[in-house]
Amino acid sequence: MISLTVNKRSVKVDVEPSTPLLWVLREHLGLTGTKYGCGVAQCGACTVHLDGRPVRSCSTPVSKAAGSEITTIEGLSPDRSHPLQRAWIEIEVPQCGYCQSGQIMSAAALLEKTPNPADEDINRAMSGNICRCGTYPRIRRAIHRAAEMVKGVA
Amino acid sequence: MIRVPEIWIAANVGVPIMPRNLDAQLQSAVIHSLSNLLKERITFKNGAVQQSNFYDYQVIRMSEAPEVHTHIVPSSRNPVGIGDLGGIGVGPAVANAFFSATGRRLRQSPFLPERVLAALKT
Ligand code: FES
Ligand code: FES
Repeated sequence: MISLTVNKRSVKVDVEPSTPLLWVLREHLGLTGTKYGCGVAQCGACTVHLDGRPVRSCSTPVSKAAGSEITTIEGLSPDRSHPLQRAWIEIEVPQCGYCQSGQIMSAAALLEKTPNPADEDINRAMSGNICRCGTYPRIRRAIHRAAEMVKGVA
Repeated sequence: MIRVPEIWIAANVGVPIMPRNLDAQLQSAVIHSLSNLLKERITFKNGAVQQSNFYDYQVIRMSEAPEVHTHIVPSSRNPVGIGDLGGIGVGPAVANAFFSATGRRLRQSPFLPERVLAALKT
């Protein structure tokens, strides 16, 4: 049994320690907001936070996540009120949507560290997240918009 | 390596039923096509595809994604589906921009760095 803290809830799962965290989230805990893209830390679809840090859950063994606060897209806010979620809806960022949980989790970690990011900061923080639909310009705009909301300019 | 910081695109699809979605889909098609044009390449060896994942099949990422300016031509004609219309002009636009900047022609996509270099040496 491995004990985890996921979205502030304590859970126990019966899995091999080497099981990818992504599998545990999706298959054992039913948190299917986090997506499987490449499985090899190249695309970012599976991004979650470990103690606020963005990690690729497809390539993180569950044993490495024990003892950390794990946050998934479902835990970002209880009611879709996180500034990024509001900005994403306002600007209508997604096309197919598959990459967007990962995009938002990477963006959330960026805004935590850099509340007022320049395009350069966005390039650096977001280049690990592929969007096959090419929504990058609207992701960029939505991150700036969310930063404004946080500042209260909204 | 070719970098494209901005792209302009105009589309006439008749009455635009969902203008914001139209705008989004044009942007997406442009960027997807630019990714095809500058980076994406499948090669074969002994009948098998050599690439297997995003580490050896590179696609466009945030740092390379241009701003896309869209213009929807006002029209009262019957609406048509937008599809991937936005992608069609990207190859010629980039190839012609390269020609007007360098006087050299790129004839084969994707325009990978080695092909760009070869064209510049001709
Ligand atoms: S699925 Fe984890 S980075 Fe692609
Ligand atoms: S919205 Fe389709 S992959 Fe990003």
